[in-house]
Amino acid sequence: LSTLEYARNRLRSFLDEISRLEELEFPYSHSEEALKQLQNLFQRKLDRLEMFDDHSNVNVVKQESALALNALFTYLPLAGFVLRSTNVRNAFEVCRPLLRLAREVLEPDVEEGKRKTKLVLSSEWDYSPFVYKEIPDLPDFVLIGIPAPESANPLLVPLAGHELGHSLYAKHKLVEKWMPSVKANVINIIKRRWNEYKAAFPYPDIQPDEITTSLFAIQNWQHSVTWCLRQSEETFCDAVGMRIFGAAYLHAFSYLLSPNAGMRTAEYPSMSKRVDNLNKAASQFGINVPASYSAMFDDNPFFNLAPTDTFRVSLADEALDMMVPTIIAKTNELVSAAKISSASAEEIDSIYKSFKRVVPAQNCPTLAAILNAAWLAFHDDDLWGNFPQIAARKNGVLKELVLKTIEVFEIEHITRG
Amino acid sequence: MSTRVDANNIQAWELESDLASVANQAAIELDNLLIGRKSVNLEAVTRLEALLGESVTKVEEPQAASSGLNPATAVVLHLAINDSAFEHVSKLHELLTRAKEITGLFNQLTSDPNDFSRQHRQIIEQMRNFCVALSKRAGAASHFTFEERPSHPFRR
Repeated sequence: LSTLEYARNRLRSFLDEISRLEELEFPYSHSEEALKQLQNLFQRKLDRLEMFDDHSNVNVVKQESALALNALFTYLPLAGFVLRSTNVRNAFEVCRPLLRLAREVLEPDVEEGKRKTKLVLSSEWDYSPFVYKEIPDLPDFVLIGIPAPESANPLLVPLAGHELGHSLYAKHKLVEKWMPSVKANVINIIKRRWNEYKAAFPYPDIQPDEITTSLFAIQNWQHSVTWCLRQSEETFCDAVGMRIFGAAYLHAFSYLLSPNAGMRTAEYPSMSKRVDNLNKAASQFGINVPASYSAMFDDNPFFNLAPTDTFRVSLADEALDMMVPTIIAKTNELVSAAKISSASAEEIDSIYKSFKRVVPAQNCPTLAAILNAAWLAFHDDDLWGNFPQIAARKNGVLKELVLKTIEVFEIEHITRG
Repeated sequence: MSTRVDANNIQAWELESDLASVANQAAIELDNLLIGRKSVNLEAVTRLEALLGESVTKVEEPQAASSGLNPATAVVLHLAINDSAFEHVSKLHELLTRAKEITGLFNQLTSDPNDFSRQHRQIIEQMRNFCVALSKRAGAASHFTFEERPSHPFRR
């Protein structure tokens, strides 16, 4: 029996599968390029495994085999994601405008023809749009997945703003920039809540001034720093989505996630905190939040968390509260640097009037304006009161109308050169 | 080794740059040196030395609350040192001293691999074991799972 031979065979099977996927017809070249990168990555892994022989150290071989197996866990779903990007269920109309937007946000200082960001738009058989973050081994790729039943629903496109946020977060190395502040916040909170800390972690028996010098103490609180940073990233991504798409992001977010999306995880703020932070960001960005918005959500508590982890999460949550103003200010700075302006009420109203006439709008200034008008129309119970036959199929017709408008928006962009 | 270049001409070394991957690639290179393979490349050892320098040994005022030392990295390194043949540590300053010793050894090795490997075979074995331990600990840290999304109710 050979672990190494099994590991080699697993990689060969994966590479064979990638070769089969490459035979597909791709509507956009970026999906194909993602497969090429996966192929090269796994070929490198296989090459390393092929070099081992009977003289190789068994622990080195086993660890390389373990890393290769982990990579399969990580990348097989991505290969499936690329496969589904070829499915006609996807709203291909939004691909080009979203790619342009991604490039404007991520590469504002690069000339338009020289931008490198690539986009793969696909569908998920998993009811969450928040799946793939920036992937270190697929640099320059933004992967946006919408749950399959909604993948042709353009009203959820604002959630792509959240995904762009992850790429923006990685590009500007915000985890490295914010880590010192987060760590200092966590340590200050521990010192203030020293008795609680000692109750949660009686060992090692240390004094407050040893909190940053004892490696066993650091081991106790480092999770709080990691979780706060991940919560900061999610908060940043929500703020980016809202800064780009305005109220349309809020509506898409609540459509998909209200009243709550199941059990909480430590990597995300609680649902009530998330909505609270969206409200804070909206107020800074001058975006009107509907009066009953917060009431649409319920909190999502943990299930039976151990006391030590309850304490660690509370540290992360409190440290996040201290970071929120910084996160909102950074969001505004980075999106403004990309010269992304909010859609004005007049722009939105003009498009909305076209929708009322059941006509695709022309000369739309931005994708955000189209999507805000779409949500305005979605919430108008009397949108097509004069057209009862159309009103009976309101949601389907509205989606088609919005997709057509996005198509016109793209054609106008192309013809303008 | 394959000489393929990916679609965007991204340098191969830019990929697989996470600590777990780089550490085990360094372990492979050290093992190749011990086996006595011809023309051993020490690129990953150099990258690991740089990575540990950037994230640990060259961080200013590492003991300060607001220093750039990532506590998760410190914990991974602490556990890896205790797992491998190097002497155990329990205080941050001891960890930093040990980390500097290790990066110093990497530096000596890459400066003159032939001479170093002739004279310090046992140290290279220690370094290889440390790299494997570091790779395992770093890999486990990035897959810490209690906070993962709840699994599907009907999936096991």
